[in-house]
Amino acid sequence: MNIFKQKWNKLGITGKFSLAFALMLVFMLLISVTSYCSFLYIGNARQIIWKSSTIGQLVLEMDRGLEKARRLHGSFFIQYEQIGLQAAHETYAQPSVREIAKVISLSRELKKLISSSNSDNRVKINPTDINLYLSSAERFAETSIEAVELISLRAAPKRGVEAKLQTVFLTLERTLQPLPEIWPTFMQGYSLYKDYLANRQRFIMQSTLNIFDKLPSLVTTTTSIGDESKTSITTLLATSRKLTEELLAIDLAIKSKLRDFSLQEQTVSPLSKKLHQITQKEIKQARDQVGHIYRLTIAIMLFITFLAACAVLFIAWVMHNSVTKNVIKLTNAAEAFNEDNLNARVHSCSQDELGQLGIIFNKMAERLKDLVENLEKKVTKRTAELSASEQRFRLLVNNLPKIAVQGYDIERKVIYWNRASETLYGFSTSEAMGKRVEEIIIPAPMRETLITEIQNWFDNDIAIPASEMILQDKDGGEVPVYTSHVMLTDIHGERVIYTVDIGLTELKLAQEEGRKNQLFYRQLFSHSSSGVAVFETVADGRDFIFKDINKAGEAISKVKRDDLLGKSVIESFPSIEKIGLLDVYRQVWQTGVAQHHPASFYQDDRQQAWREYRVYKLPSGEIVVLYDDITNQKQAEIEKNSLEQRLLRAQKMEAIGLLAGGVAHDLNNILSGVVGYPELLLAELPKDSALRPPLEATKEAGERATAVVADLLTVARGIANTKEPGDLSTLTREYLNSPEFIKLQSQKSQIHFREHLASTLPLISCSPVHVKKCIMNLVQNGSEAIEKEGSVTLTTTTRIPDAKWLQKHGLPPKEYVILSVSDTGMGIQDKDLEHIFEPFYTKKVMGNLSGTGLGLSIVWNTMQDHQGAVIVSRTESATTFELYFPATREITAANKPIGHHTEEQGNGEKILVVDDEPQLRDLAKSMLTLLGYNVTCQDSGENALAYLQSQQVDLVLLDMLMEPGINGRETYERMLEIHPGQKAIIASGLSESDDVKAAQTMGAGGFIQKPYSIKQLGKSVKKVLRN
Amino acid sequence: MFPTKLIRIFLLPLTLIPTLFLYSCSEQPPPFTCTDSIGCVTIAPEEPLKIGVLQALSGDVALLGEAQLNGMQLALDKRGSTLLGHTISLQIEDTGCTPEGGANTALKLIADPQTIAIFGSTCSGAAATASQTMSAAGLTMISGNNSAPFLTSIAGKAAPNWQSGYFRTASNEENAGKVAAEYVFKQLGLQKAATIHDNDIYTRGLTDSFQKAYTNLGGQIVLDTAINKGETEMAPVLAAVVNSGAELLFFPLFQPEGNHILLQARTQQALKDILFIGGGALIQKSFLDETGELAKGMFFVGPSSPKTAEAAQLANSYETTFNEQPTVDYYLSGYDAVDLLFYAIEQTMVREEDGTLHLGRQALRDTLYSITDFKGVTGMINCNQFGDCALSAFDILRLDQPTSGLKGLQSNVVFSYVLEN
Repeated sequence: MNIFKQKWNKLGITGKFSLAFALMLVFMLLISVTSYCSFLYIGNARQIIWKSSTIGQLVLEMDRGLEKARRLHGSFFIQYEQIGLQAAHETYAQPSVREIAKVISLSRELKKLISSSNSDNRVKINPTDINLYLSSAERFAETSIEAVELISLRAAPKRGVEAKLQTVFLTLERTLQPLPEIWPTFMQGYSLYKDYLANRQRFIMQSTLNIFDKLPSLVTTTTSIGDESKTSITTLLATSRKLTEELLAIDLAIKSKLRDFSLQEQTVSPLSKKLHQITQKEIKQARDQVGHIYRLTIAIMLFITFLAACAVLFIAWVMHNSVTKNVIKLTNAAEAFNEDNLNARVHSCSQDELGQLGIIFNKMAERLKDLVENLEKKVTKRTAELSASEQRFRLLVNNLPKIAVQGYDIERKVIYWNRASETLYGFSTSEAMGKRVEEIIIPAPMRETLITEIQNWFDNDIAIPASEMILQDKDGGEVPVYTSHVMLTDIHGERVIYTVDIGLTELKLAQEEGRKNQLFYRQLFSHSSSGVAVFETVADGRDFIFKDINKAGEAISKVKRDDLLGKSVIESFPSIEKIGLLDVYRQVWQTGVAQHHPASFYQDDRQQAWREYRVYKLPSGEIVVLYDDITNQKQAEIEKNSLEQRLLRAQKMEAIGLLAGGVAHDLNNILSGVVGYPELLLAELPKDSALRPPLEATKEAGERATAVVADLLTVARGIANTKEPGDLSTLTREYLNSPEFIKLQSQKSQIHFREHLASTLPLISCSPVHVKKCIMNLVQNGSEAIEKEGSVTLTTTTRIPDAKWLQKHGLPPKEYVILSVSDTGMGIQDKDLEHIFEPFYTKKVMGNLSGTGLGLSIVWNTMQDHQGAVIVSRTESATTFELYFPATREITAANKPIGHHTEEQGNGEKILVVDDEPQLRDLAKSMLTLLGYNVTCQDSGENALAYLQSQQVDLVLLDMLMEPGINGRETYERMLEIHPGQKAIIASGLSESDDVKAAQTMGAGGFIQKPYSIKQLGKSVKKVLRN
Repeated sequence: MFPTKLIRIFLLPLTLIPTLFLYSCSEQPPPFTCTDSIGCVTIAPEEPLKIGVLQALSGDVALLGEAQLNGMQLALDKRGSTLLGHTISLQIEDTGCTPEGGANTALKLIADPQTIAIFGSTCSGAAATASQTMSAAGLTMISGNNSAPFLTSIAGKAAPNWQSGYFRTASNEENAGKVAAEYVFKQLGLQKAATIHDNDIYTRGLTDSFQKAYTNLGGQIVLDTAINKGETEMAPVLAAVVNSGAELLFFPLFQPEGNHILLQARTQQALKDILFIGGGALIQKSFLDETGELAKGMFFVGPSSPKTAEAAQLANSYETTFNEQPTVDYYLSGYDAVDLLFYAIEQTMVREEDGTLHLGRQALRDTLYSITDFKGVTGMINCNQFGDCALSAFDILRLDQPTSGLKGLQSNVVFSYVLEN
């Protein structure tokens, strides 16, 4: 119990009321549920009563109907002889049939009702009984009609059997009466017939028939009647027998019907009684149930009501103790406090809201008590503070600089004049006090009006509005002021007007200055070469509206100022969000810190340009954007970058080329021996020599190595210096018919090689060997990039690229013949693209059959040598290398193809071989000797020069790189000093270098790439000697 | 009352819904669908099979009706008074051996839609009206006593009162008249005959078939007359017989009219030379007991008394069960009728696992129409399309020694006739 009390005390008022109302609601629900169940059940019972009553009523109606039908039918049988068949038919038979039809209808209705009642199993009437009742009623209808028909057959006037029989008997009676032999017999039979009609006993009719059976023989034997009469009598007798038998059958049938009625009554009567009893019983049971339910419901509801009343009293008691009592305590305490009992307090024991209220009340009372006790002290203190404050205020007003305050009484006399007024108007306080305002500072033209306005204010409370005015000072000078007025009531209750004047002289001056500034800045704004746009921030900083834009801005943005003003920047320049400028606007608007937005490329439907922005915020909140169009500058930068990159690549490739060239030089020197000596030996060996095969193998190996070195030398540039006119399509076809391509095709059978070669192309000046090498490398690379199935397509075409493209790729503007090799392979990754042309880069991806890793380097170098370019482009499905060759329209003598020569053989001309490599030196000597030349060798440039000091030679074969000592160029230079016009051939393992070019410029007639064959050497020597 | 109702109103649906849900979820055989052309009867597991019984249980013919009930009781005893696990409920009604009685009692039976078949009636007159009512209601009726040709077939064609669904194990006595005619004309050489019937279709059928056969043989029907049921004064009709000059009187009447005819005829000298032939309805112990020596020399035509071992065994059962000897042999055909009906019900009924039975009404009829070689106590039973299931076997009996009683009469067969259906 204590726990319950504690929990109850802790419970809030809402909780307490909720519990109380919930309990009451439970009781209300209980009463409602009980009532509902009772009404439901009573409704069911009433339904049963209604159905039972209806059934009972129907049964009664049927019973009465059937009884009435029987009665009418019985009356028909009884009355038809007295009142006539027709009348009996109309009076009894027809109503009987109608009654029975009604009974049948009622039976069917009852059957339907019971069938529906049986579905809910409430009315306990056996459908079988109703079936029987209905069947019996129908049978009664049927048999009663048949019975009436039988009666009609028997008793109908004239046409009934009895009537007909009576007629026959009467005829016979009249006919036979005169015949004493027959008459008694006939009458005996006729009498029996009448007895039959009274008793309807068949054996009586049998007796009649027995007697009448004798009549035909009597008639026959009677002589007193003629034959015709005999025949007539015999016919009548036969008719009477037939009718008699019919009557017997009808009577038998009528008896059967009467028995039938009796049986039907025996069937139906107990059935009616039973149905009636059942329905009455049902009604009684239902009524008993209703009564029982009523009593039970009343008892339950009384009990629940009693419980509810107890609960309400209990709740009231609890709520009084928990709530009302505490409210009363609070009220009493408040009343006591109100009656100055500052010690009044509330003593509450609950912890609910009222308890809290009590605690708060006590605290407030304590606080009030404290306040009241300290109020006097505080008033004194506050008064002193107020006086000091007023004094401060007075001093403040009196000493306010620039703000002149004057006070006027109702007579417009000055009652207050502060120092600022003295300054503004030149009147000292003593001079102004007591004078009317219009006498001192109001110019004459305004006086009358002002006096009226002041008077109007005092009289009618129409205040003078604040306004700018031109008043006058002591000297009569104009004093522009902004003046405002206030009417106060002084401590004596008199109304006075105080006027506050602010001198506008300085302000006017400042305004003029501001106007000039504005004009200045407007000029700056308008004539700035940078675009300047001013925006007003809207949508809480999400968007910016054009407020102004200068002419430069219009020009840069290619839009009219009028078209922009009032428009959203997002709407006008939709891409600014994409380039990040809008975010800068927003940041500047939020932070107020100016920001620089670096160069960015703006692009929308109207314009594309590089721009640079500076954004800052005005103190007034507007956003100002300064921007410049740096498109030209940017393009220049791009071009510069492109140029730098190309230069970088060229330098890189040149460095690599030098490296490769260095290697090639050494290798060439070595290979010169490997290729040359076997060749020499083979020339001297007999054809059937056993040494020939190994020497030939050595020579071939050397030649293959030479090919690798040749690639290196191509990379090192300078090889393709001999150019001839060529057709790019023809060169491509030659490659496509070459053994290399056929071999590649057989190895890559899954790849489909296509060609789209132009039939007529401008010629190009080219080194066919190198061009075909390029084609071979590209085709080979393309095929190796395809892992499974795919295609490699070779296309030739011609094009004049636009200037921008040419500028980008560093090509001069002219027509270009283009070979493109496109493959559907795996493609090239971005990270590889920058390096694919470097020697030995990504061998795995860009591998080639030669295995030198120099394929694309050769391509790049070849294109450089041909003043062309190689462009790589990629799509999702293909990688394309395009080789741009400058087209040439002229075929010069120098470019004519060199014919084949067979005149390598010399004629004893004297040749000096200068080479620091002994082997190569010997090799060259041997070759030249073999060709029929007179050969002398020197191992350095210095020795060669020394030799030439005393000797002359027809030709010098001069190695370019010799160490230590001077190189070939320098040697040749000095040789010319000794023997001007000295013919020479420069030999080098490198491709054509600057030194080689310099030597050639000086007059060296030829250049031969190491390693060289005897034939190559012979040709070069012969060529130079011939020139 | 109130709490119970509360439970019914609120709790019952709450328990029924999940029960029905679970029931619907469980695997159940498809519900029976009645495809019978004239409907079906469904008997719930605890419900009895309802058989209607129409017999003449009042008046002098009550002996015949009671014999039928006894035959039925023996057939019930054979099955322990159950069929297909269900008890058998009998609704027994008395027809009073009249057409109107047959019609009204039949109404009582068909009023209950659970009635699956009717056993009866005793008299053909009652059967004529009852079968009409029964057939229209789609029921099947089988009699062990009706023998009127009008109920099934005459001369191989459907008789006027034939009704679909009507069967009988008593012989069609169309041939009884024929047998009597042949015997009196050919064996006894009598040329003139008189006939008396009582307007019942049984007696009328016999006299008609007799007249037809007799005239075909060359004989002359000198009197064809009738009496009414319930009449006792027979002198006029006997006078008519005398007047007709007849040499024999064929009067296949029931008791007591037949008794009155014979007894009153024996009082008339003019009739002493006339041969009297009665029908099967008079081959009863009660007739013999009442007429005694006066019936000596009288002939009877009736169905042949079964000679099978089963019949003898059933006779013993009869004596054991009812502690008396059979008064007529018709209890045998009554037994066969009930046994055959139960057999057909067993063959036709569709039984569900829970014991619920479904009977197609036309199916039951079809089963009975298709019965062949059913072994009854009266012999092999074969039903034809008109509902005749018994052998057409008749005997002419002559009562030579009234003291020998019914058995003596039945053993004195002077002429026999057997016709296969």
